[in-house]
Amino acid sequence: MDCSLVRTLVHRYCAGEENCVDSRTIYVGHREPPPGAEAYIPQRHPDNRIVSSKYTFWNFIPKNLFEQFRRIANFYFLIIFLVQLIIDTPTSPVTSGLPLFFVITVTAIKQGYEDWLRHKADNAMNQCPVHFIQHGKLVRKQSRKLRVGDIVMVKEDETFPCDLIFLSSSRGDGTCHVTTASLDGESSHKTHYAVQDTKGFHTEEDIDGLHATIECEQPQPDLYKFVGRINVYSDRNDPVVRPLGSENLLLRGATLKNTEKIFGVAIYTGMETKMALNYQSKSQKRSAVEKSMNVFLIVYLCILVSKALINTVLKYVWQSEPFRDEPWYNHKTESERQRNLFLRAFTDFLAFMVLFNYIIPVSMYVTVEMQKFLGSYFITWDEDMFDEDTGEGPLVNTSDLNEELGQVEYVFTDKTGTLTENNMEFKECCIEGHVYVPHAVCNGQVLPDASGIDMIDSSPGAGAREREELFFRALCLCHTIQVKDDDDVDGPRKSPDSGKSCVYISSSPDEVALVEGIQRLGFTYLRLKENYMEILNRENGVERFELLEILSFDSVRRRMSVIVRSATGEIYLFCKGADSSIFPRVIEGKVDQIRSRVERNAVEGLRTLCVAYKRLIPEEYEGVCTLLQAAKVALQDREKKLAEAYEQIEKDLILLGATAVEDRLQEKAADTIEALQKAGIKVWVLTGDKMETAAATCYACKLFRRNTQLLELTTKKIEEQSLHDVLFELSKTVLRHSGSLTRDNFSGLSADMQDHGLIIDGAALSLIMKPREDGSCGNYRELFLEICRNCSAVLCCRMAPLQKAQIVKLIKLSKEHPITLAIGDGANDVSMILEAHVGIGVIGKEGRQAARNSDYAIPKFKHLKKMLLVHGHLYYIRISELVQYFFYKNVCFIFPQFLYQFFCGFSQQTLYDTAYLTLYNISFTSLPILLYSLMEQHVSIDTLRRDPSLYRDIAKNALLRWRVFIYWTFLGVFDALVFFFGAYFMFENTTVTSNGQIFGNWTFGTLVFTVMVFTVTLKALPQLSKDVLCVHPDVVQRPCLAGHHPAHHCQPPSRRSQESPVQAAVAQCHRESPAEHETQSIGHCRAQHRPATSEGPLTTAEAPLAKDRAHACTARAASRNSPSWPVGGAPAPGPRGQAHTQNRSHCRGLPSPVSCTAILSLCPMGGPLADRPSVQTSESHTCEPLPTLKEGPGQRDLSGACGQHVTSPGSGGLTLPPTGIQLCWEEGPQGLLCPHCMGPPASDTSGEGHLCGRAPWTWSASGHPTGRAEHGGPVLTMGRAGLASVPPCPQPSGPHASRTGWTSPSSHMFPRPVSVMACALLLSKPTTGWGWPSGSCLVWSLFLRGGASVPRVLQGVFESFLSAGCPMEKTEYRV
Amino acid sequence: MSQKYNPITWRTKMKKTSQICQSKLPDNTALKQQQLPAYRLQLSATGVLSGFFATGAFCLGVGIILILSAKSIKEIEIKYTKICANCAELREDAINFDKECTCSIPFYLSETMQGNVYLYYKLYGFYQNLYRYILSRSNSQLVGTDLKVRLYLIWYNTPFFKDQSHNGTPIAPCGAIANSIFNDTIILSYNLNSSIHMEVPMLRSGITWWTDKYVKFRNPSAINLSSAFTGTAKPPYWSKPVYELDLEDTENNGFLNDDFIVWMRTAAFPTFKKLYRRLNRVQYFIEGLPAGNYSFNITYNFPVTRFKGEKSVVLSTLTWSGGSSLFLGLAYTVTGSSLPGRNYRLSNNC
Repeated sequence: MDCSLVRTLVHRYCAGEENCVDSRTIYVGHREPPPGAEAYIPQRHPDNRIVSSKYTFWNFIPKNLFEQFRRIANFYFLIIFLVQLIIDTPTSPVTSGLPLFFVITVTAIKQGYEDWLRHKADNAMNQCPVHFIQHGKLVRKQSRKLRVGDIVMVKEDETFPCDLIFLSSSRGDGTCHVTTASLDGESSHKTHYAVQDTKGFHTEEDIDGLHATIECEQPQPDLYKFVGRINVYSDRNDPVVRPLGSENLLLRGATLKNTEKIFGVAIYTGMETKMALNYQSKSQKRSAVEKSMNVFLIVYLCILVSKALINTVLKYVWQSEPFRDEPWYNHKTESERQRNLFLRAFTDFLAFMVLFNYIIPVSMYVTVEMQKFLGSYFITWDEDMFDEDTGEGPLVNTSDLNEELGQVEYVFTDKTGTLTENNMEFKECCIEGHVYVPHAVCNGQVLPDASGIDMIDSSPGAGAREREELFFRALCLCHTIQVKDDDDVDGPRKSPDSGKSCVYISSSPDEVALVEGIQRLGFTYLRLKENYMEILNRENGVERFELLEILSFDSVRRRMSVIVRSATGEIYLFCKGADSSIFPRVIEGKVDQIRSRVERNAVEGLRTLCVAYKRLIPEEYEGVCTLLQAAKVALQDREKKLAEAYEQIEKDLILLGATAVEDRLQEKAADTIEALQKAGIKVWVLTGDKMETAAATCYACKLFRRNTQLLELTTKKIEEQSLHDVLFELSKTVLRHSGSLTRDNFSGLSADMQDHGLIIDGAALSLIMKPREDGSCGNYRELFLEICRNCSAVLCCRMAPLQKAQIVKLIKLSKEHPITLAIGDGANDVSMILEAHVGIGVIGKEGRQAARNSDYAIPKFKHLKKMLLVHGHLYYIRISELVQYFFYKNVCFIFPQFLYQFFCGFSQQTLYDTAYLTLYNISFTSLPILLYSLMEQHVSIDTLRRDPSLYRDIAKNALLRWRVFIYWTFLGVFDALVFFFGAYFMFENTTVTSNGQIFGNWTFGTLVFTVMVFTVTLKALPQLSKDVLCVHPDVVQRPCLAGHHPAHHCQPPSRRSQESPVQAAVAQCHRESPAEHETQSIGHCRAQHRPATSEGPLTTAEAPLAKDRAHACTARAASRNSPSWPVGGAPAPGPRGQAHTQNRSHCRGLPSPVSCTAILSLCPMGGPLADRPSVQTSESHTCEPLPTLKEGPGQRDLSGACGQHVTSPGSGGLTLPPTGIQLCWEEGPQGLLCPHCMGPPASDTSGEGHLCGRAPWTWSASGHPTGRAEHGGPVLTMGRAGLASVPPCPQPSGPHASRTGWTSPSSHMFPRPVSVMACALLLSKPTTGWGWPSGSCLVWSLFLRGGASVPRVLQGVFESFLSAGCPMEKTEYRV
Repeated sequence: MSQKYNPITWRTKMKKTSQICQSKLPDNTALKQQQLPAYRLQLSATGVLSGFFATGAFCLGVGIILILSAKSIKEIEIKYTKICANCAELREDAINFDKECTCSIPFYLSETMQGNVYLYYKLYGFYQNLYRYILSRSNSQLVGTDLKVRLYLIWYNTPFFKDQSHNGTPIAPCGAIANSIFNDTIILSYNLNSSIHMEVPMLRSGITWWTDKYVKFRNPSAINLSSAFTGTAKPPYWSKPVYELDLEDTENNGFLNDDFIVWMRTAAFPTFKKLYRRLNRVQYFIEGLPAGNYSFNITYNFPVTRFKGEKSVVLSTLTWSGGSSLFLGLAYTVTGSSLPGRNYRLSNNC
């Protein structure tokens, strides 16, 4: 025995190193294996204790102090304090010791409290009871006492206490269902399998008799990977060896569902569990502002040291003459005279350091902490971020990062539960082109009288009815759902139909949604009983199908099939899968209709599945059976053979229809993402979900757009090509466009621009992240980053939690060092939340793990918008002003002190009294700025929310750049010079009082101090006045014409909104007789509110309108519940769409195209078209798409789709870019008339410009030869060429563009002639300086403010500007 | 549960939320929702312009007045270190401390100095603002509470705190400042004609700050001053003890001596003047100092050449705004005249 032990030990620790490192052996139940097997070696593993706390009771004080003094400022003050204690200095140690002590204590208390909370949470976790098997009996023990090798029993709905190997379950087949919601966010049930040889051990006694050892790898963080084997010893036989995979492993944190109890043996415990390995220790986060603050502090430290050095040197230079060193009136003591010169010099240096140490703002940290702490209350108090449904408001866990919210460049968001509500819902099905919508899901609520289906399309014929029922049966049968008959089970899967309380459980929530949806359409899946699937048909009859085969789902095939035999003996194969995998295998069926339907649904972000079937004759079935059997028993390449078999079986299908399921997006998720993108933030979606689902969601939330070209970097693709090739190919694709893209890729909104979306999956990512061995070609990270940088949106799917963090880290550490934000709701997001600069937890349904670990927690994803755009912005402004101000005021404070040394023989005499020295920082100057930094709103909250692009103004730490810092510092120096020398000259050789008395040195100091305190305190006023003078208070003067899309005023109606006025108008139109439609459509219904028919020919005016285009246009306009488009999610429904709309109030997907003109005029612009009779009759207006009109938020739809079909040649057209208003020109007898002055066009064609009367609004972009344009007639200089050169929505270019750029309050100040002059100036120089965008806007607003009257023609335009939130007031223009 | 705020009531009625929810719902107050009423200046062009012009005009006016009043001041300064070179040489060496040296400086006043006339002495290059010098005093001793300077620890060993020659008797007043008191005597005499030399009557009262005289300096309480100061020694450079500073006026002795108080208020810069006497406007001098011949009779005691300094006497009149400095007036004038320009620039910037 001894020998073997020694041998084994030697084997373990010397020879078999890999054995020791790579694997562990576990003795199930701590039972020694029977003799003859390998010796029993007790192993040491950590216990099952989870430790997330940082300190213990004993190490708290030293560790915390150490942590705190790592902060540069704290350490500095400590040094100063010690110096003051040791040497004789001009100021008392109290002046720096007291604030330091205060700060340290407060911080320590705060951190101690936080750690105490963590201890409490850990204890709760570690002490929760766990059932052990000990000597054949069930024992309850605390979780932390669990050890590796223990056999554990877990009951239903309990969470696994550690990583277990699944031994047996109460279910006969040795399976159990598990939900890993808190691990990877997937709430679906997953099936795990017990070890084959142990699944018979059902009772405690049985399991106690188990002799087995498990060999497995050492703990790894990868959740989906596990390799091991189990040796089961039965009596006196050789052990049975079985491989173990991840399907046998139950992870800590997962929850047992739908299984009464299971037995398992613990293999990884405590901090070694995969869950714990996926957590990262919480490190203290520092905001960018704090980092730059530290840099500034170092600069100031340098200044301080150099000041002290200069003074020391000068002191000894000055003292080199003996009469100055020791004049008769200021004798030294004997000991002083004998002191070493260098020692004296060093002491002097330190004394100067102490004297000037106030240049480092003592109280800045205190004030900043207070500002952050108090300021964070404004976030928690915010009513807008309170969710009434859940009764939750935002939580602030770390107030240190308030301002970081204003600096975010990358947002990493989880999908399930964050973007979506994690709640699948059956939406519709399409059978042979006919659309069926279950009544019951109208508005997401179950209607009480719901029954049957609502057929949207015309009722199909008899043959179709048969198909219809076949389709329903197919859906009822083609799935892997299990039914749980239990009345008192709660959960979302509960069927809404009362009476039948069956609960469906499946690994795919889509299937559940489908089966539930079909249930509402009349067919109910009852159960699988003895291999017979029972369904309840519409006539309440039970149909039984024998289940012959299941061709299970895999992600390569992307489909699944079942083969069933009906009661009548017919054998069917039902196949269900992604459209791309079904359509190629279809030989029959209305493929085109279904395809278009599927595409439309996909565009709307629905998850679509196609259903096909095939009837098998018995001989065929025999063939299928043998094929499958052969594949199943194959020992090698079983997977491959199975796949081949499936391939052969699933072909020649007949297409039945398609389904659409929705994982509903959270309220306003798309709006939020759009706003974030407009704010210049890149949004990445990181999800554990599968690719197709995730991509659909990305479409739905408008991360991907229709024109987004998707690049895939997935395992599948890498299998086809090498990673190297794929990457290079992608980068080539991306970079081809990058020339044109670089400028605009931030917005991601450009229409013509091909923007790219990248999809990458976890496996591909880990390949990329793996460092290259050869190192020659570098690693792929850089290449990958380059690709990512050029993609407007990135979707990462199949991510393990740690991979999410890896991605975040990758971006975080890329060379631009962008600020990242991670948002998620599940425990699987915790690591990325911790990794990112700012972590935000959504207070979700699945526990509060994310919320607890996050820096901020919000109830809903939509609150992110206000969080970043408003709070982040404001806090950034506030804190940066605060920081700069602090440096400024301390320069002001200490620079006179420095100057004074030149007048007092460098003797370290202080200028100010000690009281002033102490109080200046603590109270005199820090309280006003604290108030300012809590209250300041340089722009109103509404404006910030309305205009996301304002966020770009402060991007990249714009207010704490070196330039600003140096400006403030020099301002401080300048002010200090003024204070000091002002007082000096006033003092010099004169009296300032009328009684002849003379001031002393303290009076002088007090004078300087008083002036300084007043000036410094009033310094906030210039700040204020800067804002007031340059920015209009209420409306930020963006180039209004272009920048302000109407979205502000027309908040997109929520998806459940009622019929909008637009719909009403359409309805009105609809009531007109059809004949009238045909003839007077344009005239009567104002050319717009004309419902178009779905398939019939379009009305005359729009004959050329291609059906597809119209459809696309509609779909696009309709599918967006868009903030950028005033009609919101409610455009006009078609004739048959009425019912449809009722059912699906958010009006996705109109079955019929609505003319784009309609959409056009439905915007609140009133419509200049309608006001002008000539247009209606002549129809000679042209609104051609302007080639350069492409960017511009909210503008895309028009330029892309709508401009095109209103075209008729022969007249000039003018499209005002930003709002898409069609302003059409008069066609008079001489050709075109100027729409402005109604005068004839300019005769000259030199490009000088047509100045019509008083209107200074003719422009001619130089370089655009006007003259005769392609229309043939003489064209005004205000021609399309000129206009086309007006980029529609200029984004502010500089950091302060919105603050200091041209803004129209100036026009407040300008009297009218000035504005005219300014216009002239602008017009004369169109290409230089401010350029067109701002120029055109300036012209508009100046023009109005200058009191010019508005030509009647343009009245509508102005009206629309007003409604678009332009900074004009209605009273300000006259018509 | 009382619901103070209307909006909350309304909200909770709208949504049938639970009680918990109500309590968590943030208050809809202006402060908490960051909706505090704020006044934003809506400056119009005229408002801003007129404001700036008004300020400019005001500054300009004040500046001009200040300049004019400063111009009206008459001031005479006579440096007498070089004039009394023999005395200065004598004081070069500390051994001659007990040799008296006087010096007469005649001068001619061409214009009458109207109103109150003040006599200052002025020192060049004397650093009264050296750190150790300023610190070298005991405020508690000067208010009479701690005559023996028991509380003063750092400077305990310096020569000016304990008399080294008398085995450490505490010095009163202690410290380097008191020790180096300005001890020249300056007498102004009016030479009405070649024969009649009359001393110009001068007041030594009213040259100190009220707070100094009545708060910061107190004599120790005793029957008479000399007994109050028993147990202390005079500062080493002094020729007489502190209670015998002014033999003519007994009230002007001890720590309450006006010259002493003036000296103890340390100057901010190495060149400074201190008020010595002011004109007693009687007899001939009711109007001020009439024009004519004068002379300063100076008892030269204070050594300045040792630290390469200089001494001077200053006669000056004052106005409501103080002395003869043009600086303040100029500053106002410049500011006032540059405001419109700044205003112009400002309007261009925005």
